[in-house]
Amino acid sequence: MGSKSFHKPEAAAVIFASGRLFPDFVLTANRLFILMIEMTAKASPIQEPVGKVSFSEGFMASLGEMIETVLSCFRSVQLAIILLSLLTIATLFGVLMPQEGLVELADIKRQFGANYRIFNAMGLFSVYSSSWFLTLQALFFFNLLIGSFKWLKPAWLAGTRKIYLASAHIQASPNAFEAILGASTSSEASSAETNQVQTVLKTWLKRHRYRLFQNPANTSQWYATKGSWSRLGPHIAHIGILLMIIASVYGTFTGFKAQELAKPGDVFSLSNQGASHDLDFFKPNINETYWLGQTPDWKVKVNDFRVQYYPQKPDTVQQYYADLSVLSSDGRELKREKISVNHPLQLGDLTIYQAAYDPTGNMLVKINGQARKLKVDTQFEDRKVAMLDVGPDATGNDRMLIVFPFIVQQDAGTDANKIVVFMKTKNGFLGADADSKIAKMPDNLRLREGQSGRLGGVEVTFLRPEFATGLQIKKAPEVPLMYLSYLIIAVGALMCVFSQRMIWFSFDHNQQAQARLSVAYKTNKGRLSFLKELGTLQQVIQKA
Amino acid sequence: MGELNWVYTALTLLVVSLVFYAIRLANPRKIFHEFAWGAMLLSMLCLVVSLVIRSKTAQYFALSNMYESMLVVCIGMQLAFLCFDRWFKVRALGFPAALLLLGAILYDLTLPTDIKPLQPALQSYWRSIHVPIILLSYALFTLAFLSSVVYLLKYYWVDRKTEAGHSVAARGSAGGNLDGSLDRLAPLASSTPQLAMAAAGASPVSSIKPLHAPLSIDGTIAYDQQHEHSNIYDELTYRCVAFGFPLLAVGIILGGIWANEAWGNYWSWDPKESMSLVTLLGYGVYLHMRVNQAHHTRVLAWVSVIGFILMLITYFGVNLMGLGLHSYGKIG
Ligand code: HEM
Repeated sequence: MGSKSFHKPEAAAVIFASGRLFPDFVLTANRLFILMIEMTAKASPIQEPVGKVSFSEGFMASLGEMIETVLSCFRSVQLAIILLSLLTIATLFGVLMPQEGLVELADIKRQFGANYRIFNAMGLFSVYSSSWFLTLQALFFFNLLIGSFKWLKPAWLAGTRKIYLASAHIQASPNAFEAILGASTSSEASSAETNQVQTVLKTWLKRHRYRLFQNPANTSQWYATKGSWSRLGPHIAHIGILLMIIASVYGTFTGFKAQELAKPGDVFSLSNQGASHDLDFFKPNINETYWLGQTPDWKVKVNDFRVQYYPQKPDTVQQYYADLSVLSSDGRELKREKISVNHPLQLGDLTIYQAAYDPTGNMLVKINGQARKLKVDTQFEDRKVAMLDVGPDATGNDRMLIVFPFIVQQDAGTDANKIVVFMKTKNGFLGADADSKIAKMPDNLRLREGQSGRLGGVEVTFLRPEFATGLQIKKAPEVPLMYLSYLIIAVGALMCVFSQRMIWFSFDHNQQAQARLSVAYKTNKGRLSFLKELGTLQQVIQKA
Repeated sequence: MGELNWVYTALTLLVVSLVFYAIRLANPRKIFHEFAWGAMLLSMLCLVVSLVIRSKTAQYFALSNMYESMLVVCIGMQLAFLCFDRWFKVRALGFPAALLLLGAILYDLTLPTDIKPLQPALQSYWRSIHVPIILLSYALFTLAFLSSVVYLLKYYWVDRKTEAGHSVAARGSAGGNLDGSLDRLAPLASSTPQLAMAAAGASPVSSIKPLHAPLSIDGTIAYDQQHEHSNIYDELTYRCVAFGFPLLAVGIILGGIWANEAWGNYWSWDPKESMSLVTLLGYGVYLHMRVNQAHHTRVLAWVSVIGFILMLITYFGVNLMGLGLHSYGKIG
């Protein structure tokens, strides 16, 4: 890295317009280009092999060099910058273009018309699963992997190695200053001055939490450093990212996702043995042919499902509760739990989430104290209603209850779940004005959840609408690994906030035989605050 | 006093701070800086009080809609600015920062401020960790953007005419040497005010002089003030990104864990998620370009500006485009 001047051949300059930004990368890429030409030249039978080198030897040699070149290309931070930029742009595409699964396919087709086929072939409507995006990720992975090997050792050394500098070296360094410790040229006086400065320095270093090392071979050479552990930060973060990618690949090959819409009382099986399972939706994370995972042979029973609304705002859902039992294949209950949003059921690496709901079309009521489930299945003018035969009245007249359901999640403008109940006999609606159909509403009951009323001698209590629960079932064996990688990334990234500061001291005498202190300093980031700290160092030296 | 009155008080204090920072632009007296800083601090405290009152009323941590979220971003920006300003004493940044905050709070007050009950997906303690961390990173990126803009303005209007080594070498080891080898001790821009002073200061006991610094004829350090100032903005940008980047990373990770706990998917390529990843990657490019040491400070400042635009799209854009998960209950 860091080669500031190099020969830039024309071919590369044309291919990589970004050459000015990425000189090293262009250099390696260009070398690769030249090697490829050389290789084809060597492989071509028209050309005589040079000297005694046989064809295969020449081929192997350039292959070796080529691999080395590819590796050095993959080790470069410049490739990382390019890949990170490309990934940024690609991910941005996925946000800006309508993505299948988020937007209806028909809408996409309509929006893009004739361009649809081209864009679709480019994978722009499913960016995150397109082959070029995955390729980019793979390149990124290898960049990080190969790069880590290169960077880890120097960082480790920079953090742990103790380096001592002689005055001559410090004097030659661009980041240095010197202090003449008094004008005296007599050796006793100057050594007293040196001792005094050394004591002051030691206190200063201690107060600023530097670790101080003295060269065992030459005690006038000191090395002080702090924050050396932070040098490992980026590398820990990178290893975390590698682990995260590995975890996600592992999950892709072994995990699955399933969904089931189940009514209270339903039992369904999780197993997909024999290709038939009663799940509404089952999808391994990867094409079934490559999938290496398994489904458990458990069954799940939905004991109950309730939707709870805010008491003061009955049109807003507060929480969904599903009471579930997981049963083994022989019917034993393995676990029973009431799950809600944010509180899933966990059994090994299998998790069942409360994810959705759907009105089943049944209304739970009590008729004359007896619990009934009313099916909303009859078309009445423009609405679906439930009809219930409640038998004849005292005069032998057959009575029928007509129940209009109103459910907040379904009927816009409804302020709370309720039913409106009418009664119909062979004479028509109870309480209807026979002459004018419009003038008067027939007798009716409007009941919210929990309310009761009487209509035509029948006591009706509205309990609640029945809902099916939408369960999301997921097997994700990679989660512990994934969380571990998260932890590593977080720790590494936070370590990057800190910097390593290094100060070298060397005590000797100048040509005038005055006691002299030479100081060199270096940090890997946060230069200004370091210089500020060095300012106070200079002050204490000056005072001493 | 009601929560909104506290916001108005904060706004008034912010105007006071703005005025003092404006005065300070022309007049370097320290007292103005202290006044401006103090007013900003009080303004931040008022916003905090307002948020606390609001949370008490709502009976949850009030961070569930745009109004509250922007309030938190403003508090975060003030906090970060106050710290950095104490530390670096950046003269030209106070005025634009106060101006931007003023605009942000005024805009925030146009948003609906009514308190609504939380939908089920948001009732989780993860919400009170994940969201503020991300918002704090946004606050830092905004500050990074401001200091990049100030840097670029200075660069194009002042420094370019006197271009004196904005080169890679002058930026020096701020970016860090990768291998720490000694013969590659990167040259530091030779002096800071302190170092220069120490060199010029004639102490009877000892004399300290920087080595290999450009010495002017009279022996004092040729201290290029404009150049040094530009570098302060560069370093401030870097510091903000260096803090903001891990925060955003941790915030996204916590979001992933939350999503996994809540609906079984730590990553679903939802536009808001993807866009926050784009922002993270964008600032990742910034950090690596810096590590690489092959780029002019100006280029880095532009990358930080781009990062900020990406952040804005994440923060406002995705909601405005009407995209996004946060549509709980959708299955399939
Ligand atoms: C999403 C992917 C990546 C993230 C989040 C990431 C994160 C980071 C962070 C936070 C730093 C510290 C920057 C600083 O100290 O200011 C860093 C430094 C670095 N990154 Fe990455 N990185 C990623 C990918 C890569 C890749 C693919 C490479 C290629 C080899 C790479 C090579 C480096 C190197 C060499 C450093 C400097 C280390 C040092 O200062 O000792 N990074 N990275």
